[in-house]
Amino acid sequence: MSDRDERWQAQQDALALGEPVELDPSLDEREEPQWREELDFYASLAEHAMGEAAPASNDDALIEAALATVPATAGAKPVARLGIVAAVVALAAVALLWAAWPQETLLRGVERSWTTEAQDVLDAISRRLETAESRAKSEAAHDVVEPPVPAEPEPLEGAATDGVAPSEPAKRGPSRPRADAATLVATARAARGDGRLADAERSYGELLRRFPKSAEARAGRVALAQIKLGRGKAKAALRLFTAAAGGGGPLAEEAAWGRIQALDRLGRKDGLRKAVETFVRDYPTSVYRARAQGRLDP
Amino acid sequence: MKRSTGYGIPEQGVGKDGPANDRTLAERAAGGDADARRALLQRVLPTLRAATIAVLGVGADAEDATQQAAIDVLRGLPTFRAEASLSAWCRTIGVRAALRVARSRRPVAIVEPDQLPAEEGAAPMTDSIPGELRAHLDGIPKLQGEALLLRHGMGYTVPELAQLLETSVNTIKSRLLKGRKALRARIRQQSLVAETRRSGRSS
Repeated sequence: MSDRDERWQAQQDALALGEPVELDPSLDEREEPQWREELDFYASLAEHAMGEAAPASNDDALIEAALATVPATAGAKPVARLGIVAAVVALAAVALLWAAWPQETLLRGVERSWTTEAQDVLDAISRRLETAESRAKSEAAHDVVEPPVPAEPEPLEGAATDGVAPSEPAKRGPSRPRADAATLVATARAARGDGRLADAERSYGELLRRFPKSAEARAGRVALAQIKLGRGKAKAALRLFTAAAGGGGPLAEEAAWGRIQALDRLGRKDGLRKAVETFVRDYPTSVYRARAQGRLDP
Repeated sequence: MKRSTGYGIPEQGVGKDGPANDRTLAERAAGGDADARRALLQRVLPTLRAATIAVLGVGADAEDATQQAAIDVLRGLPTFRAEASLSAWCRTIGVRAALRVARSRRPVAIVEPDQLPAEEGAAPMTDSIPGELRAHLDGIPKLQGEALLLRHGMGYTVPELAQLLETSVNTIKSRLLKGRKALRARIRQQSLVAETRRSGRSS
């Protein structure tokens, strides 16, 4: 290669790498007439690739779907979550102690004398005990940690699409106006954020039944599956995740990862192995990849 | 062609109200403020969509990538550092999401712009990359086209590209050099075809 060719090559390499280029006029461009077009190509690329996209008609739906997929509480640090759980447990314990303490006093009173006054006290304490138990149950339901629920009421195989109970009542008065998809998502998201998972499940279920083709339903299906999985309903979650993964879209990766979790929870080793292999093939750079592979026996 | 690159990309769209406001908004959104989360997505969506369209072109893939990028923004808020501009941070998230979609989708046949059938119903979005440039990028090997686009179109430096594409600096340089050669061959071929057509018509 002649010196001139070498200089030409160096100039072209610098151009391709985006390094500073001092164009050498001594290099006769007539030998490579296309290089000016190359320069134009790069200049035009730089001019257009950094533009801003105009707003689209589906922006609102897209934003709502993203907000529904990533609840505000999802960013909470594990330490903070543990703190919340500890506070709830401590509160429940205090409530039970508070309720149990006067019961012993009462029993002693009963032993001393069976008076009407003691019977009144007994009634009052019974009411207090019921209140305390109800409060403890309510607070336990707010716990964000996955509760161990081994038994799950499953709908019959193939009875309903997406594992959504077909006749689950909305528990609303008949005269109340029907909510649209966005409202249902907002309701479900708020309930999920507050830890009212049964309410969230109900709203997402209603969303899927009434607006199965909506953009909100695509994200809602995965969100509902995640909730069901968290509540120990692995079989129903698996059906939802499978439907969501098959539909493609931006949440297909989340759905595929959810399938793996559900299969693992159900102990279906063959299905789990296939799901992990498919996942690793389809999403080789996924953040879930290592965790998915970790579900397989060595 | 030389300009500020990569994470120091000049701000467009995002940050119109100033970087300090962007930082405040991001902090509020990361803290779980529902209004801030929605406002943040509304603010960054044009940036995310522009990045995904630049990589994937207009279509369902770009929309899917934009959706995923919006989710990634919400998930990544706790890791957002104030020293980076929100615009550049979001653009990188959009590019990453688009690259993931590009890796997972099936290869499609290359179609020249003048061979495209007439569209039925106007597409809601338009490609920021002109058709001729897009055809050139699609006409060379995918990884090389991506490298050219991200380096020359979006201003990422070679080390930044290595990080973004999870490969070595040398691999990126190789892709850029090979991409340049492939691009040049394509331009040369087109020139020859055009010249041949002109000659045929004039003779």
